[in-house]
Amino acid sequence: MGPSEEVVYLLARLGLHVADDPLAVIREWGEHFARARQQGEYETCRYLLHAAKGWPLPDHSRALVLYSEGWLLDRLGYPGEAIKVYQRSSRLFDAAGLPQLRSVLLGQIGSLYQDQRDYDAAGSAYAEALDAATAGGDEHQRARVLHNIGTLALARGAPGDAEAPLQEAADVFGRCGDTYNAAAAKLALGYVRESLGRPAEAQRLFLAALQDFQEAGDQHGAANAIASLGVLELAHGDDANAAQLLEQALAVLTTLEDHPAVARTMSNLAIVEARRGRAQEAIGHWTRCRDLYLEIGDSESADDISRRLEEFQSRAGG
Amino acid sequence: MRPRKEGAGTVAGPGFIVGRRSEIELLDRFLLGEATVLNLFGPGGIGKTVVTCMWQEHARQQGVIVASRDVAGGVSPDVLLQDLRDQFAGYEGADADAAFAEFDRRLREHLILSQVLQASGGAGSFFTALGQVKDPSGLAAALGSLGSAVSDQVARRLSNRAAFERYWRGADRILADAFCAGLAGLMGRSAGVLVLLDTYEDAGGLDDWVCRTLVPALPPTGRICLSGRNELARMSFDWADLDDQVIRHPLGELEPGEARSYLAHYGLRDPQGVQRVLEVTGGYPLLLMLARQLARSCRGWDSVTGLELRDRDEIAGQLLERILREEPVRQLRDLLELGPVAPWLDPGVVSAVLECDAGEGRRLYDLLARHSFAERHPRGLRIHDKIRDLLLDRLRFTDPERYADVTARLDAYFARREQQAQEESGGAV
Repeated sequence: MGPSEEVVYLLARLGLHVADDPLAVIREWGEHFARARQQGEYETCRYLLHAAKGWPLPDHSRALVLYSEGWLLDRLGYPGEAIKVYQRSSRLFDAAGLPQLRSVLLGQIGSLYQDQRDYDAAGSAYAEALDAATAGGDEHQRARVLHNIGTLALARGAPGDAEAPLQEAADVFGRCGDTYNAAAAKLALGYVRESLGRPAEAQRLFLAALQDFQEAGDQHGAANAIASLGVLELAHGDDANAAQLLEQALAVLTTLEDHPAVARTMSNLAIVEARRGRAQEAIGHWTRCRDLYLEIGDSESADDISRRLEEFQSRAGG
Repeated sequence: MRPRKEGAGTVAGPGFIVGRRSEIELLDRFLLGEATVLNLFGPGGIGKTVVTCMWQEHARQQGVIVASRDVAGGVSPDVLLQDLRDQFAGYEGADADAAFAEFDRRLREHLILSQVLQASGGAGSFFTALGQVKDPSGLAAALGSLGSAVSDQVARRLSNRAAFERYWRGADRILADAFCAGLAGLMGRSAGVLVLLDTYEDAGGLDDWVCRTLVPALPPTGRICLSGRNELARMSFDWADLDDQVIRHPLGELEPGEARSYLAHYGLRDPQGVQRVLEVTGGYPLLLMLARQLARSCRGWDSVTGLELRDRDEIAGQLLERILREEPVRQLRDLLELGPVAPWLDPGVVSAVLECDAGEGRRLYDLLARHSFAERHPRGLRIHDKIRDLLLDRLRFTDPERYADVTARLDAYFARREQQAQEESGGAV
């Protein structure tokens, strides 16, 4: 299947101006790419990338194209390739005399290591990214790295260490009017409060994050916030509400192909269904969750789900 | 090992062949060297397909297992790999079935998944919003009808939208890895394996996959030749990353004897006439082609004289200038001068370029289709790349206002079509 007609004409129109004004072209290209990715239109993203790679672009524009590709590969679940593409992008930004963007790319690379549970590599990348942002006097970028450092502490099971950097990041984003990143920081702070046994504060933060994501038009962030509210309800024992929220999040995350988040949400839904006595539904969710973990190559999580499934089946059978 | 019989998917041999001994030597060096990719490029009509066919035959004679494909019109990775694998099956002595057993299994799974999905109208109609199968009993019946071909893995993927999407996004890579493992199995018994892809300028999205997936997965003595109008780095800047693995070979000048054969083929045999034309064109294929076009427009080879012999681009520019001057249809001349601004030409684009009505746009488009500078494009026609570049440069530097006017008209036309398409699809890019 080829690109849609509107993409064909868009690219034809942009192509007319590449030789004369590559900067304006890549700016408009970037807007379309961002819109397509927000809507989960990844095939459109691929066509846009393919076209841009054939244009005669200067180094900084090529670096931007590669940055966009890294994001796409990350979203589609190819972290190893995404890291390589980000590294190429970083080299091109350096070559173009824009080393200040190095911190942004190191932050992205660190977050990919974090997703792969290589926490030491992630920590090193974030430390380097923080130095680069501080040296460049870029407060906003520094806040983005602090946000990354906070989420790493959370992933390492140290919510106490996460609170200060996340709070600082949220404050800076709020001051800068960066709604999207402010929402992401609130979401992460919500996880911190939840981990520290303060569910009411967590719920307030999740709701605030949801509102911000919706304002920013970010479906992915909104779905994650809804899933977090669902998990909170699950912990409270409000199974009906938890199921409703988790199903709502799952529908969006499935469309956006965030596979690790889909698997987590399925697993939580299975727990809710099991508690509601709906054994078949619970088994269905766990089975699909296990298969998905196998498909994305996360055998550790797949084994964990298999164990839960076996335990549940033996209990249900008994 | 004997060569296979010619198959339907291979590169078709041309009728007219001249020389190209140095290209054969190049292939020999390539097959023994470190580089993985040989990129043959040059403007249309200069003999890339001829060379590709000669390489194919020569490699076979050297005991190399060869498969080829013309990718004109675009082809998907799964179709390409299936075609190449089928060609390997014809080699006597090569146990392709054993070597490609895993690939065959993967491909079978892929085809079943495509078939089931296509029959149900796509993932959106097959799965619920929560990623479960909408009609489990229908799916069970469909899989049952396919019998033992359906593995547990296929069934598992089809029962879960997320698992399915994940597989689907990575299927081209899975198939490429299995295919290259098959190549490695074949190579144990041969002097190597060579894949040739012709008309590579039409590869489109396939190029991303060849560059990023297929080439890195090739086994140590696996080689690939990519023949097309454009140098690979012009198709995608990703190729720059593989620079040390690519031999770039612009298809260069013909030897004097070869150039004479070319002119004789197009009717110029008189030794003095040949000498006069060769003084202008040398063995440079683009100039030979332009000289032929000028001779055709003026009904004689005598017109190819009186040019200032500086560099090739200038000679080409002068030949083009004369061809345009001799063009009997005034508006076709305008179209040849202004049309290169457009990425492709169809009747609508022609009307936008020349500001004429739809009927006239159609008439000129039909006329252009018969011109030797035009060639097919997936959306209509295009002007030969090198000629397009020359004409575009000529317009931009000699008449920048006209160039800006045409660009603005095309910009408005494409924006209007983009808007229409958006309204029809009910969304925005």
